[in-house]
Amino acid sequence: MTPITRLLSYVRRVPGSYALGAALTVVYAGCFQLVPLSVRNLVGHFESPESQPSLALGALWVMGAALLLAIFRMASRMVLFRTAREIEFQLRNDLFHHLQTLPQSFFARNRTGDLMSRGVNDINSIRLFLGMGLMNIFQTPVLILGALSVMMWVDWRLTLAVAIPYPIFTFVVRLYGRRLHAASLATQEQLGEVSTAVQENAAGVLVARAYHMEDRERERFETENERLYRRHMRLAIVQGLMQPTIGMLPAIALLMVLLVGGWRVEAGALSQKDLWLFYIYVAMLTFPTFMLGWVFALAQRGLAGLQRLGEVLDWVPSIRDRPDVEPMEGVLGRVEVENLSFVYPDRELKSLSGIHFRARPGQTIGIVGRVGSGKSTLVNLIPRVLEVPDGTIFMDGVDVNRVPLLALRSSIAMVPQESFLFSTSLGENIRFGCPDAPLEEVRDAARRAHLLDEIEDLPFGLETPVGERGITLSGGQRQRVALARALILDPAILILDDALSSVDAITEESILKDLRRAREGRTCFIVAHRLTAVRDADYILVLEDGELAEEGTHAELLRKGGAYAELHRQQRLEAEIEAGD
Amino acid sequence: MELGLHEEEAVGKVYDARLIQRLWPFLRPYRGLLIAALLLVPVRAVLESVPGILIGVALNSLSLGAAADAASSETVGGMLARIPGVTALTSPPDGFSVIAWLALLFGIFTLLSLGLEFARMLAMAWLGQSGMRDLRSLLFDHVQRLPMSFFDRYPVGRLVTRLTNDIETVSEMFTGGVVALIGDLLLMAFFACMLFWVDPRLAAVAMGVVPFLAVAATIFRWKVRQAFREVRIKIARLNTHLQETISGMKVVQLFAREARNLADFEETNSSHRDSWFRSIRYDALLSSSVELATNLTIALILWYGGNAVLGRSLEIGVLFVFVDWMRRFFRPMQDLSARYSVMQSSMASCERVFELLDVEPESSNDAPTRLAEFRGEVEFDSVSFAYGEETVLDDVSFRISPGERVAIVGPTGAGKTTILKLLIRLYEPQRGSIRIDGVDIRELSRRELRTHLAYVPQDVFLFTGDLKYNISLGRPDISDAQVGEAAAVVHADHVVHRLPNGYGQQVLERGLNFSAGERQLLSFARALAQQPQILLLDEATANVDTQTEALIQDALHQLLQGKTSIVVAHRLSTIQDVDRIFVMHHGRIQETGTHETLLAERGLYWRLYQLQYAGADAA
Repeated sequence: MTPITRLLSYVRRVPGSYALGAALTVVYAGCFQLVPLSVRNLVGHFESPESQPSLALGALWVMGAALLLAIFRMASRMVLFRTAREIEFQLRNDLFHHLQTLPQSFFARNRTGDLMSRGVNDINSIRLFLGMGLMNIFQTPVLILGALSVMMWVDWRLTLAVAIPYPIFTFVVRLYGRRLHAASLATQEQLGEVSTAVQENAAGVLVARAYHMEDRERERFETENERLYRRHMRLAIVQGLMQPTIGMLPAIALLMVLLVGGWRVEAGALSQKDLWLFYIYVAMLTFPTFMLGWVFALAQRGLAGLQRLGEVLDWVPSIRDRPDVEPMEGVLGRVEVENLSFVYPDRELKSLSGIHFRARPGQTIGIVGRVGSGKSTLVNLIPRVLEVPDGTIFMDGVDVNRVPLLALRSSIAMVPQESFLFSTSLGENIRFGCPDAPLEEVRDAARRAHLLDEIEDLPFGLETPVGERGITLSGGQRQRVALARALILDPAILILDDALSSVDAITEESILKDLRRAREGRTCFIVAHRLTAVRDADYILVLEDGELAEEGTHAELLRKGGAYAELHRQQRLEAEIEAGD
Repeated sequence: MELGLHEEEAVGKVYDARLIQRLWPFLRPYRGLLIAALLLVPVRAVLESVPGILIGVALNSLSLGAAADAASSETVGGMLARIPGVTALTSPPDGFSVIAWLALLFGIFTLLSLGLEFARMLAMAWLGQSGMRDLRSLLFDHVQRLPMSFFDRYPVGRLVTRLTNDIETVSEMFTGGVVALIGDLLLMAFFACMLFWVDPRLAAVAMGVVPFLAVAATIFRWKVRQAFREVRIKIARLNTHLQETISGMKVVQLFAREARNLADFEETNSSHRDSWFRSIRYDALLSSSVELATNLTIALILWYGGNAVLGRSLEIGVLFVFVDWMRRFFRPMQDLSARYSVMQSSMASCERVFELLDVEPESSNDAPTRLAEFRGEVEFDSVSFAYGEETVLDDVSFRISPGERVAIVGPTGAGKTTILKLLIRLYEPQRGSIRIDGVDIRELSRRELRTHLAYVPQDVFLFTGDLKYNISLGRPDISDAQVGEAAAVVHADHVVHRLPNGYGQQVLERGLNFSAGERQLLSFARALAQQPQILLLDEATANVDTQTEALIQDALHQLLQGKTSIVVAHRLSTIQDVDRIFVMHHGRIQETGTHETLLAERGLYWRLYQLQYAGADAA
């Protein structure tokens, strides 16, 4: 979608508002003409001394015009600005909604900061364009056309004299605008250099301190800082020149009123009241004319913002329900994986290849292997967090790609490797997947995650806020909150992706024991580093470089004396070292 | 981009005398500019009042011209002649018609006033930018002196925001905030006085609307302010929600929470929109009432003044002057709310910048001891160190003689790296003392300590800049030849030679154009080039190809040659190279000895050896 069509599609959502805004603007432009005309009428009475009574009437006319003008100014502003805010509201909702449909591969490619800047800065510039920008695009031409016709009707010669500087100045202002843009771009770039310098200084602080580089770092920063200062000053000069230059426009117009108008009055071709009319016009048109010059920049920025936002909004979600979706309410937990291979986008090497296994409800599958062997990839494919190739994973006999996404994910609970918590309370985090769960269930889930005692020791209990990303909790606590968040769902399939790595071995042991007791009819996948976690699994998969190296029960794998047995030996040694002090 | 969203909720007060006071030292050196800019305000006010007078005089002359052809310049001025200098100025010299002369003056004064405006803006920019440059320098300087523990908890992004965007925002105070506001108020006061000077009665009428406008403006501004505060809180909440959802998208999707999450977002979003609706209403009211007041005032002046003109007690030119001046009087009121919001965000940024400046820097002793002759004896005497509540080193004591090479081994988290960091005083131990050649390192200056010691951290950090800079670290006393020599000893020259630009090769951000192995060799060269007497090395664990591994092993061997060295070691070859091995566990040194004696003890070291190297030997 081009920025313009997207813009129009949003404008079409609020058709009445823009029509009303446009109508109000036209009425405003009409009232605008009344002010100079009524002033002219009022001053006209000065010329005949006997007209004293009509002076009051003339003044009332001016006041009436002023009141009308104020009312319509307010109304048109309110309507147009509100409409801009309304569209901003919808755009932001749409962005949010769309982001939620995008796959992990999208978020891997687009950094949070960049997405935030689209959601904040770009939406802002779009809104400015839609409000201030569109208002002026509607308004100013109508104002100017109306004014020109009135002025022409009064005296076309003086009108020409007054109006000629305007087009010339618009040109000059645009030229300046380009220089201003270049200067402010240069300043922005230098600001980027300064932030890089700070960033690097902070990132390399260890080396900088160890090698007492503070002075040299300072010098490097000073160079950038000084350059920033100079760019700022250059920008200030361009800006400083631009404002007086713009200020010259009404001044020249007034000069023309004085000089040409004065001559015309002297020559008897014009009366004084006409000079007043021109004066009021020049005064009242000054600001709208400036705005017109600014509108170009607004429109440019707004359209660029729409373009950048469009890049996100047009990203087709690769993981969603397809037309051939099978109507299912949920899954029971029979998982079959057949000849599954997976390559991450942008990577050449396969992360998984030829994986093959089956899991029945009630079974626990342990998955072990070295870092980077594909364990996490494998379990992330099951809830379709990653794009699953067709015909490789089956849920209750149905290709997982044909299971409705909502049905699939609400039957699976996963504790991901990185236990991300939201900055709400402990209770809210545990309730995350079922916001309306009663307190008793929350407490029960916390109990099963061996968290309840600690929570009850806190002064605010479940209401305790966890801070950004759960920063107020320890790593082990975070993992157990994430576990409780999964357990409360009572899912058909439970996936623990190395989910208890920061929990001590004894607690891990007893959590898993409880899980075993309660896993009736549930399919469990446990990815683990510590073999103790998978020792009691019904079946263990050992991955090596994305391939299934060994499989079997704990006892079988030990007997085999392969990779699993070696891992087992190492971990026993580690445990001995840990205990040996 | 870091937005510091969470702090936005704490929006500071608009005007805070304390903040201005703290800001003043940065402006003081440039106070001449500030005074000049403030002095320019009255001059500008005078100049701005002139065009009105000129046109007023012209109108007088035109109406007289219609009545009588020979009018003296005094009558042309009329009431306006009460303004000093007007008569002298507006009487045309020979050869000029009145209109042409007035037009010429108009042009001159316009140019003067615009020129002055340029000068004023430049002075303000100069003041603001100079002050901000100094503040930024000072802040950077301050950051250089903050303890390492500060960097462990303060996100880099936030630091960058403080030094860039926040200071930029503070500088806006000078271009669009306080100073502009003072200028506006002075200008308004000037025009009010002038009006009363010329004709008190007409001035009283002209000012008739002002009290109403003032009341209305106060109310609306107060309402706008409230709405604006609400908006800021809501936008912060909205952006936090957006950011959190983006970062935690996987969890949102896994738990099928999208619909609920969207509903929550829409709710905040719509209340944000509604706050804006309120703000728009008051803003529109405010701007319309200023316009209304202006036009009503014109009507009042022309009505009341018109009667006087008809009664021949006032000239029409005076009316014009009144109309023109009142318009100029009202104009700044249009900008008030914009100025207000600039000031508000400036103050908030100002507060955040000063908060960072208030973080206590590292202690430094004023009269450091100097080591007469450096031998390189290192001693830890009952050193304990805790990071937060977690004990990392627990009563560690050892002595290393000059020239001795020591390896520290042990499981992860045993406190190995901490020994190195304490020795170069990146952190201070809570108990015990560390001595070099018998002198407590706290008595030395950090600079002196660190010139004798070279620390090679586990993660190699390369600076942007060329390779030469990364090896010499910008020290002017290290020659190109020395850089080359150091690189050659540790085989980093292999890396350099394959590059098209040799030592001039630019390093990309964080050394992304070099492999992990190459980065390690470069960091060895860096340490060697600094010619340290004591080498502290934290061996990297990154996997490298066998060829590079061989290079690194030999490089390490060269590096440790004849130098007091402490190495946190992971390689068997390194361990076999050293004179003594410390085996650490749970923050204590559990065993010491050589490779052979430790193996023979069959204790912790033996088990570690089994775990880490025995398998590798077999392979």
